[in-house]
Amino acid sequence: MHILEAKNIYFSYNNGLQILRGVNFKVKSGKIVAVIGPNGAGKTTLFKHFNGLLFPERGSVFVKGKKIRKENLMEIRREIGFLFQNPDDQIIAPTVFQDVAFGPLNFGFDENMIEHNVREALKLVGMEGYENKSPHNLSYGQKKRIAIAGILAYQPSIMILDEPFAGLDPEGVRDFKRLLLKLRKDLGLTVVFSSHDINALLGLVDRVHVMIDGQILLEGKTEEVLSNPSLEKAGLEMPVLFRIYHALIHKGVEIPFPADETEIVENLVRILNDEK
Amino acid sequence: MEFLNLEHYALKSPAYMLSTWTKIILSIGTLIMLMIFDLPSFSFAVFIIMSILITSYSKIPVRVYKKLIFIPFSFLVPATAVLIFLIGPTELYTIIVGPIRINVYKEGIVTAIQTMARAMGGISCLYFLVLTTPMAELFNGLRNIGLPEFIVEISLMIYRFIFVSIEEAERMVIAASSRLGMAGFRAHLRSFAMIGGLLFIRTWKRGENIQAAMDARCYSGRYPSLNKPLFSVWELFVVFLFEMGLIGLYYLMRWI
Ligand SMILES: Nc1ncnc2c1ncn2[C@@H]1O[C@H](COP(=O)(O)OP(=O)(O)OP(=O)(O)O)[C@@H](O)[C@H]1O
Ligand SMILES: [Mg+2]
Repeated sequence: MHILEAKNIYFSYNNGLQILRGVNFKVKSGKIVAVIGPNGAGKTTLFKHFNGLLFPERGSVFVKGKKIRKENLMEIRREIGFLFQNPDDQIIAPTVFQDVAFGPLNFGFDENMIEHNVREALKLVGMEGYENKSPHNLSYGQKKRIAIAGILAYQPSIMILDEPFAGLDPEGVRDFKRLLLKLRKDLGLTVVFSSHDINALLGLVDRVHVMIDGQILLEGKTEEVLSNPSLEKAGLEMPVLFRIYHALIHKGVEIPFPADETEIVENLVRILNDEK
Repeated sequence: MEFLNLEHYALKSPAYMLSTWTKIILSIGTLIMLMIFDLPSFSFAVFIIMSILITSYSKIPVRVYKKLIFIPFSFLVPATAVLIFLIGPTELYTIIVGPIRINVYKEGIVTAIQTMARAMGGISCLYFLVLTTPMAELFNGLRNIGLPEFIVEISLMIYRFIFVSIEEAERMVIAASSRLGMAGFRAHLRSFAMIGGLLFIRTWKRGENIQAAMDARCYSGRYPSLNKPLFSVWELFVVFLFEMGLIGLYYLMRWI
């Protein structure tokens, strides 16, 4: 069963330019998938269809088998945590506490539960103790963490994250990756996110969709898609790991396809030792 | 502009933990005392007492409070000063400027002092409320005594958008000055016109984004405020004693 599915959707903004041109997109429950693509490809536009912020001109979007309609928006949005690309767009309340509590309050959690969830969520993103601060004076990365806490606090079953890693420091990226994997393991969370940081995808995502000019150009298992040479033709880049792999093959070094850095290093060391 | 974010001080203040109605009644109650007991020295005493409450009990920095007091004063002082020349008839003093004679009246001075003292007292009462109570909490309190839902909601929105436009304006001013748009009078004027025009569009756009963000989390007409009692009998009793004390003070002052 696909928990999230877009069937042949088309979309243009008021100015008439066709932004989405027949997008098909499926995600299985409990998977972590990434959408990559150059600036202006339409990733954000596509994501906004997943919780009914935008509606397609043609085609439809299904969440847990239910078509998104104006009538069932509440029900759909309860399932979906949406992280906006720009945290300034997401943070709406005058204090951190109020902002993180905003989702649970609207979904009718009781007061004790709200307080508990807010503290828990702030702890998960490493921002405990900031409850009474004004979010507007925080740094970009801190705002991003608050925005993430704001969706963790109502425990959605699908997270749609528009560039969650942009602006986080390396430790923040590592922690957030770990958090996503943990939530997937503990709660069976499904995650769809966009990213320009190709290297951050390895070891995290199950499948990758490549979006270009409002269409999905390529889709498949992470290693397959990210080592596909047509990626570079589309103006994107392979992860450093796969570039090294391809360069070695090109130079005639017989080496198996690496899953991570350790593997490629071990294989190289073995080859070097054999030659001695 | 940062000091305008009163919410920030309200949340840090120890008085924040008092229940909402304690603060409303303390502030409005004292305001009513001011209206009933019309004695300049009493009004002035209230101003001093409330200012002490604000700065020492509620721990609002004196520096901030001074700035805040200065805002209403900047138009209050000239406005009351005019009364000196308007309310007669006992002339104390006459200023002659060419053909024009301006009289300073005794009654005018008395009225000016009265008005000034009452206004100061009133301002300090309202500042006490604003500096200890976040807006969301205040309106939730008012909702509970039957203020219509839509008024609460619109008020909170307006409050929110004041800050959104200040933020946008600040950002644009910084962006402009970093490219020397604020250097010199002409550049200043040109940038100012541009920013003024753009501010509306930017705030509008921000409004749309905020709307989307609220929709994404299913805004249902309620802004969260920390879970704490609206009402506390014990605190109200202390407030009652405080107000009684004020009445006592009034009669003491009149007697002297
Ligand atoms: N509100 C809007 N009105 C009109 N056009 C828009 C609007 N938002 C986006 N667009 C246009 O739609 C196209 C796709 O934008 P979108 O934000 O979906 O791209 P993206 O893939 O998310 O890019 P990025 O990597 O920069 O975030 C762009 O050409 C953009 O100019
Ligand atoms: Mg985008």
